Amino acid sequence: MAMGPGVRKLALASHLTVAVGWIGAVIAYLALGVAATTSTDAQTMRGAWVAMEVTGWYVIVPLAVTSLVTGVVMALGTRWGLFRHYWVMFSLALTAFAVVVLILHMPTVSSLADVAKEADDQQLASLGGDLTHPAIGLIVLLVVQVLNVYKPRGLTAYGRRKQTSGGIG
Amino acid sequence: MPDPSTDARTTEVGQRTPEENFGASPRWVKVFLITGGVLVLLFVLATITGIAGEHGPGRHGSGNTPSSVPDGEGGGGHGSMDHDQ
Repeated sequence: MAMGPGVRKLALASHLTVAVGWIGAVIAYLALGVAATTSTDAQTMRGAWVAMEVTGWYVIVPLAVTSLVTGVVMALGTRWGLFRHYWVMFSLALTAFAVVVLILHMPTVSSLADVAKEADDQQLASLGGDLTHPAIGLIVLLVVQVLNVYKPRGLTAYGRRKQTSGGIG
Repeated sequence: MPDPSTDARTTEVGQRTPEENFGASPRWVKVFLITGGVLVLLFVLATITGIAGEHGPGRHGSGNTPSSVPDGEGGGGHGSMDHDQ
Protein backbone atom coordinates (compact mmCIF):
# COMPACT_ATOMS: atom_id res chain seq x y z
CA MET A 1 0.00 0.00 0.00
CA ALA A 2 2.89 2.32 -0.81
CA MET A 3 1.96 5.87 -1.71
CA GLY A 4 3.25 7.58 -4.80
CA PRO A 5 5.80 10.39 -4.37
CA GLY A 6 3.25 13.17 -4.81
CA VAL A 7 0.74 11.72 -2.36
CA ARG A 8 3.53 10.89 0.06
CA LYS A 9 4.80 14.46 0.10
CA LEU A 10 1.28 15.77 0.60
CA ALA A 11 0.71 13.33 3.45
CA LEU A 12 4.05 14.25 5.00
CA ALA A 13 3.33 17.98 4.74
CA SER A 14 -0.07 17.43 6.35
CA HIS A 15 1.35 15.32 9.13
CA LEU A 16 4.18 17.73 9.91
CA THR A 17 1.77 20.67 9.93
CA VAL A 18 -0.69 19.15 12.38
CA ALA A 19 1.96 17.50 14.57
CA VAL A 20 4.03 20.66 15.02
CA GLY A 21 0.82 22.69 15.30
CA TRP A 22 -0.28 20.40 18.14
CA ILE A 23 2.93 21.13 20.05
CA GLY A 24 2.52 24.87 19.48
CA ALA A 25 -1.10 24.79 20.60
CA VAL A 26 -0.17 22.95 23.80
CA ILE A 27 2.47 25.59 24.55
CA ALA A 28 -0.17 28.30 24.07
CA TYR A 29 -2.54 26.35 26.32
CA LEU A 30 0.19 26.07 28.92
CA ALA A 31 0.67 29.84 28.83
CA LEU A 32 -3.05 30.28 29.50
CA GLY A 33 -2.79 27.79 32.36
CA VAL A 34 0.07 29.78 33.87
CA ALA A 35 -1.99 32.98 33.52
CA ALA A 36 -4.97 31.32 35.24
CA THR A 37 -2.71 30.10 38.03
CA THR A 38 -0.58 33.15 38.70
CA SER A 39 -2.78 36.10 37.83
CA THR A 40 -4.55 38.04 40.54
CA ASP A 41 -6.84 39.75 38.08
CA ALA A 42 -10.30 38.13 37.92
CA GLN A 43 -10.87 39.05 34.31
CA THR A 44 -7.56 37.52 33.29
CA MET A 45 -8.31 34.30 35.17
CA ARG A 46 -11.81 34.07 33.75
CA GLY A 47 -10.59 34.83 30.24
CA ALA A 48 -7.80 32.29 30.54
CA TRP A 49 -10.19 29.47 31.47
CA VAL A 50 -12.58 30.35 28.64
CA ALA A 51 -9.66 30.50 26.21
CA MET A 52 -8.33 27.17 27.47
CA GLU A 53 -11.68 25.54 26.76
CA VAL A 54 -11.93 27.02 23.26
CA THR A 55 -8.30 26.29 22.43
CA GLY A 56 -8.62 22.75 23.75
CA TRP A 57 -11.76 21.74 21.91
CA TYR A 58 -11.31 23.68 18.68
CA VAL A 59 -7.55 23.61 18.17
CA ILE A 60 -5.78 20.96 20.25
CA VAL A 61 -8.28 18.10 19.92
CA PRO A 62 -8.62 18.41 16.11
CA LEU A 63 -4.85 18.71 15.70
CA ALA A 64 -4.26 15.72 17.98
CA VAL A 65 -6.74 13.44 16.23
CA THR A 66 -5.54 14.54 12.79
CA SER A 67 -1.94 14.01 13.85
CA LEU A 68 -2.71 10.46 14.95
CA VAL A 69 -4.60 9.68 11.75
CA THR A 70 -2.00 11.19 9.41
CA GLY A 71 0.75 9.42 11.35
CA VAL A 72 -0.93 6.05 10.85
CA VAL A 73 -1.46 6.86 7.16
CA MET A 74 2.21 7.78 6.81
CA ALA A 75 3.32 4.56 8.47
CA LEU A 76 1.06 2.34 6.44
CA GLY A 77 1.69 4.21 3.21
CA THR A 78 5.48 3.99 3.41
CA ARG A 79 7.91 1.16 3.89
CA TRP A 80 8.39 2.05 7.53
CA GLY A 81 5.21 0.18 8.43
CA LEU A 82 3.35 0.49 11.70
CA PHE A 83 4.86 -2.37 13.71
CA ARG A 84 8.22 -2.98 12.03
CA HIS A 85 10.37 -0.43 13.83
CA TYR A 86 10.41 0.24 17.54
CA TRP A 87 10.50 3.99 17.09
CA VAL A 88 7.34 3.95 14.97
CA MET A 89 5.56 1.71 17.49
CA PHE A 90 6.54 3.87 20.46
CA SER A 91 5.61 6.98 18.54
CA LEU A 92 2.18 5.54 17.77
CA ALA A 93 1.62 4.35 21.35
CA LEU A 94 2.60 7.69 22.91
CA THR A 95 0.53 9.66 20.41
CA ALA A 96 -2.52 7.46 21.00
CA PHE A 97 -2.02 7.76 24.76
CA ALA A 98 -1.83 11.55 24.51
CA VAL A 99 -4.98 11.70 22.37
CA VAL A 100 -6.96 9.50 24.78
CA VAL A 101 -5.89 11.47 27.87
CA LEU A 102 -6.63 14.73 26.08
CA ILE A 103 -10.15 13.67 25.11
CA LEU A 104 -10.82 12.36 28.63
CA HIS A 105 -9.48 15.57 30.17
CA MET A 106 -11.27 18.14 28.04
CA PRO A 107 -14.73 17.71 29.65
CA THR A 108 -13.10 18.65 32.94
CA VAL A 109 -11.70 21.79 31.36
CA SER A 110 -15.18 22.64 30.07
CA SER A 111 -16.63 22.15 33.55
CA LEU A 112 -14.03 24.40 35.12
CA ALA A 113 -14.45 27.01 32.39
CA ASP A 114 -18.18 27.04 33.19
CA VAL A 115 -17.37 27.49 36.86
CA ALA A 116 -14.96 30.32 36.03
CA LYS A 117 -17.63 32.16 34.05
CA GLU A 118 -19.88 32.41 37.12
CA ALA A 119 -17.36 32.46 39.92
CA ASP A 120 -16.62 35.52 42.03
CA ASP A 121 -13.09 36.73 42.63
CA GLN A 122 -12.44 34.50 45.63
CA GLN A 123 -13.75 31.41 43.88
CA LEU A 124 -11.68 32.22 40.81
CA ALA A 125 -8.55 32.49 42.90
CA SER A 126 -9.18 29.06 44.39
CA LEU A 127 -9.78 27.54 40.97
CA GLY A 128 -6.11 27.64 40.06
CA GLY A 129 -5.01 26.63 36.60
CA ASP A 130 -4.44 23.59 34.47
CA LEU A 131 -0.73 22.93 34.32
CA THR A 132 -0.08 19.24 35.02
CA HIS A 133 -1.85 17.74 32.02
CA PRO A 134 -0.48 20.15 29.38
CA ALA A 135 3.02 20.00 30.88
CA ILE A 136 3.13 16.20 30.82
CA GLY A 137 1.47 16.22 27.41
CA LEU A 138 4.10 18.57 26.06
CA ILE A 139 6.88 16.30 27.33
CA VAL A 140 5.24 13.30 25.66
CA LEU A 141 4.91 15.20 22.37
CA LEU A 142 8.54 16.28 22.50
CA VAL A 143 9.62 12.68 23.09
CA VAL A 144 7.60 11.66 20.03
CA GLN A 145 9.17 14.50 18.09
CA VAL A 146 12.68 13.34 19.00
CA LEU A 147 11.84 9.75 18.08
CA ASN A 148 10.52 10.86 14.70
CA VAL A 149 13.54 13.00 13.91
CA TYR A 150 16.26 10.60 15.09
CA LYS A 151 14.51 7.37 14.06
CA PRO A 152 16.66 5.18 16.31
CA ARG A 153 17.41 1.81 14.80
CA GLY A 154 15.79 -1.39 15.94
CA LEU A 155 13.47 -3.84 14.23
CA THR A 156 10.64 -5.51 16.09
CA ALA A 157 10.19 -9.28 15.88
CA TYR A 158 7.52 -8.64 13.26
CA GLY A 159 9.86 -6.36 11.37
CA ARG A 160 12.61 -9.00 11.44
CA ARG A 161 10.22 -11.62 10.10
CA LYS A 162 9.18 -9.26 7.32
CA GLN A 163 12.79 -8.56 6.54
CA THR A 164 13.72 -12.21 6.21
CA SER A 165 10.71 -12.82 4.01
CA GLY A 166 11.79 -9.92 1.83
CA GLY A 167 8.78 -7.89 2.73
CA ILE A 168 10.63 -4.95 4.15
CA GLY A 169 12.24 -2.16 2.28
CA MET B 1 5.57 9.62 12.50
CA PRO B 2 7.53 8.15 9.61
CA ASP B 3 9.33 10.51 7.34
CA PRO B 4 9.35 9.03 3.86
CA SER B 5 12.06 11.42 2.81
CA THR B 6 14.41 9.23 4.78
CA ASP B 7 13.12 5.99 3.35
CA ALA B 8 16.62 5.44 2.11
CA ARG B 9 17.45 4.47 5.66
CA THR B 10 15.52 1.31 5.11
CA THR B 11 18.28 0.39 2.72
CA GLU B 12 20.75 1.04 5.50
CA VAL B 13 18.84 -1.44 7.61
CA GLY B 14 19.68 -4.13 5.09
CA GLN B 15 23.34 -3.18 5.29
CA ARG B 16 23.59 -3.49 9.05
CA THR B 17 25.26 -6.44 10.63
CA PRO B 18 23.15 -9.53 11.35
CA GLU B 19 23.61 -8.88 15.06
CA GLU B 20 22.04 -5.46 14.64
CA ASN B 21 19.18 -6.73 12.57
CA PHE B 22 18.39 -10.02 14.23
CA GLY B 23 19.75 -9.64 17.72
CA ALA B 24 17.91 -8.63 20.85
CA SER B 25 16.16 -5.30 21.21
CA PRO B 26 18.49 -2.29 21.05
CA ARG B 27 19.60 -0.75 24.32
CA TRP B 28 17.55 2.39 23.79
CA VAL B 29 14.39 0.28 23.59
CA LYS B 30 15.16 -1.31 26.96
CA VAL B 31 15.94 2.08 28.50
CA PHE B 32 12.75 3.49 27.02
CA LEU B 33 10.60 0.66 28.36
CA ILE B 34 12.21 0.67 31.81
CA THR B 35 11.84 4.45 32.11
CA GLY B 36 8.21 4.26 31.01
CA GLY B 37 7.51 1.42 33.42
CA VAL B 38 9.06 3.30 36.33
CA LEU B 39 7.04 6.43 35.53
CA VAL B 40 3.80 4.44 35.31
CA LEU B 41 4.64 2.69 38.59
CA LEU B 42 5.35 6.02 40.30
CA PHE B 43 2.06 7.43 39.00
CA VAL B 44 0.11 4.40 40.24
CA LEU B 45 1.82 4.53 43.65
CA ALA B 46 1.22 8.27 43.96
CA THR B 47 -2.43 7.77 43.06
CA ILE B 48 -2.94 4.86 45.46
CA THR B 49 -1.19 6.54 48.37
CA GLY B 50 -2.83 9.89 47.70
CA ILE B 51 0.51 11.71 47.54
CA ALA B 52 -0.43 13.21 44.19
CA GLY B 53 -3.68 14.55 45.62
CA GLU B 54 -7.05 14.19 44.06
CA HIS B 55 -7.13 13.58 40.32
CA GLY B 56 -9.73 15.51 38.35
CA PRO B 57 -11.46 18.83 38.82
CA GLY B 58 -11.78 18.25 42.55
CA ARG B 59 -8.18 19.36 42.89
CA HIS B 60 -9.21 22.76 41.59
CA GLY B 61 -10.82 25.13 44.01
CA SER B 62 -11.23 24.85 47.73
CA GLY B 63 -14.81 23.73 47.79
CA ASN B 64 -16.32 27.16 47.52
CA THR B 65 -16.90 27.04 43.82
CA PRO B 66 -20.42 27.20 42.47
CA SER B 67 -22.38 24.02 42.95
CA SER B 68 -23.82 24.01 39.46
CA VAL B 69 -20.84 22.33 37.91
CA PRO B 70 -21.87 20.38 34.83
CA ASP B 71 -20.75 16.83 34.59
CA GLY B 72 -17.82 16.22 32.34
CA GLU B 73 -15.06 13.72 32.78
CA GLY B 74 -16.51 10.41 33.85
CA GLY B 75 -15.50 9.59 37.39
CA GLY B 76 -13.49 12.74 37.54
CA GLY B 77 -15.05 13.74 40.78
CA HIS B 78 -16.88 16.89 39.84
CA GLY B 79 -19.12 16.40 42.81
CA SER B 80 -16.12 16.83 45.01
CA MET B 81 -16.14 20.48 44.12
CA ASP B 82 -19.40 20.84 45.95
CA HIS B 83 -18.19 19.60 49.27
CA ASP B 84 -17.98 21.90 52.25
CA GLN B 85 -14.80 22.17 54.09
